[in-house]
Amino acid sequence: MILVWLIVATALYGLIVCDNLIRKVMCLAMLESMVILVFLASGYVEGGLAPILETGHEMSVDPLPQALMLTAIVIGVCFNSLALAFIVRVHQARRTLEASRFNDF
Amino acid sequence: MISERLLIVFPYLPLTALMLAAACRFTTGRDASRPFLRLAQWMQLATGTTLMILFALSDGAAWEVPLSVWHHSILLRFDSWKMYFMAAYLLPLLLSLLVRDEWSSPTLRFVFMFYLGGCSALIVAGDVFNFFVAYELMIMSAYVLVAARGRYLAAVRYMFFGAASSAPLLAGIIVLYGSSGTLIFPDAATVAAMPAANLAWMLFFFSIAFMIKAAFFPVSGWVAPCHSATVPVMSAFLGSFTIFSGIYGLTYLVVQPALAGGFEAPLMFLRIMSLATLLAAGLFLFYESDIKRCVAGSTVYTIGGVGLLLSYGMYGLALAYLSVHAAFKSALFMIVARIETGDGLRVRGHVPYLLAGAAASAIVAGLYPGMVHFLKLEIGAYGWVDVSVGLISMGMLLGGFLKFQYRLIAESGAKRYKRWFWPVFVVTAALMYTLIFARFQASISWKAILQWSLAVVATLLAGGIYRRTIRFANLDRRLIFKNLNVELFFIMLLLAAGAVAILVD
Repeated sequence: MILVWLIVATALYGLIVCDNLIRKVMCLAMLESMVILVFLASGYVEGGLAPILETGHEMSVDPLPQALMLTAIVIGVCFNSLALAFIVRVHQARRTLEASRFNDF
Repeated sequence: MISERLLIVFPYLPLTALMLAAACRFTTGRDASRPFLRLAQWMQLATGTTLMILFALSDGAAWEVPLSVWHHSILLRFDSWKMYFMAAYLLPLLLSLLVRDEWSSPTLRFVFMFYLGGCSALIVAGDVFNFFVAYELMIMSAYVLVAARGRYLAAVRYMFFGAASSAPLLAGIIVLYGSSGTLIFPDAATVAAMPAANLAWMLFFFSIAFMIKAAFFPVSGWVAPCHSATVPVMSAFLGSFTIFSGIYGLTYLVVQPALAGGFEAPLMFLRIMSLATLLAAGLFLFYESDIKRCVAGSTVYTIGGVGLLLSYGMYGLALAYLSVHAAFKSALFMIVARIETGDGLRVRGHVPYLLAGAAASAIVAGLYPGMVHFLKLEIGAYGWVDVSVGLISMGMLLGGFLKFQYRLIAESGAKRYKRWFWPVFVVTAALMYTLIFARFQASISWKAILQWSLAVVATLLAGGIYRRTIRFANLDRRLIFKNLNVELFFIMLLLAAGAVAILVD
């Protein structure tokens, strides 16, 4: 959890301080990845097995967080690809990716 | 039951139309997106209206429809609060059917159908994960549609704030699921079973997430440029429904659990941020000179007002205001689109639209007190601070619209129309004030008369004050944050303020 909070803090710092739009998108991706990791970790059961139906096993990890976070990962991938596509267009028009140079946001 | 079937079918109508249009295009090569989009819109209007009528005729108990017998299955839900969100969605949908199709390519129509599917799924969502997925479907499509006119920077800005709000939303879902083992909107029983610390964290994360989504102060700077960047139909939807998905989340995931758990801190935080949002919106509108940005920025004022009413638990008043605003905002965006060009406001030949817009504003504003009266919505107690801030910001807002710093295209006869604006808008403002005063003032007192008189005088003086203030303070005409990094930093401030208000006890 300490590592997760460190990475979250780094991502937030990068989101605010980095001027490059692509780096901002990477920081957002890091942030979302950490949240997904925490959700997956919350479903972990010590000694539990993969939630596949077999006889003789009684303890398995919670399958719901895994299923839900798959959706969140897909949403994250869509977001990142869309954001980068727009950033490419911005670069084509403005020849720069530095957020501080755009005065008509 | 027919209501259950309609509830299931409702979000699938635009998605089915999308699939059929795509199939038609890829198999026959012909573009059928326009007729399929229109068909989906009409069917959604009919289905949504039928749902509202059926619910109004029912006993008022919430409808809950699980899609399977599994206890974690997708849950669809429709209740009395969702009636207002449904109205906020159907009103711009109806207006969009009355204007010609504005999308320049079939691809944008496909994306718009995704957007409508996301909005509809959001309305009927009964659990937080379904809400999250529907919201992301809606907002991803919205990002593309905001960029439809080549305004990629506005879309990128919108995306940063959207993504920044999704992380705390997921975190809140984690806490809810970890504490209660369920993903359904927390009710009193769920809240009672949660440890107090977990409830505080859940309310903290959901408050931050939905305040960013709903563009509360200080993260409201993106609304005006993003909502005004796209075609008028999309601006109407963004200003009437999408941004209010944050209010939707605040209602179900912050205010209701906080009231059920007797937790005052999130409500006080919401109240303070709502008051700040009202003042910020008024100030922004006072200085903004682009009429489309004014119309878009006035949404922030409504968000502040709705948030304030929600913080007092006045659900009916808040959500009725929201649905009336949807009609108002949709009509305004459509009218502004008719008269606004890249060079300024083209008035000649459009005076009937302006007069119709002023009349519609007055009628719609009068709708709100009417709804309050006929639906017997409860008016709770509120403080003098709330009234004062509300009146000051309303004065600045109307003053912002009335200051007439807009560029009028210099053509013969255009100047003579300008002198009509003052009488029309002053009459509109006076009518609005009178209607609101008549409904909300339980008794006429000297204090009330003085408050309302001050507000009216402030509104009328706003035009003169504006010119002097600009010259005196040498302020930029547009009070927008020009640096994205500064705006993103404000998210940290909001996080810190929320942590202090909700978590420190």
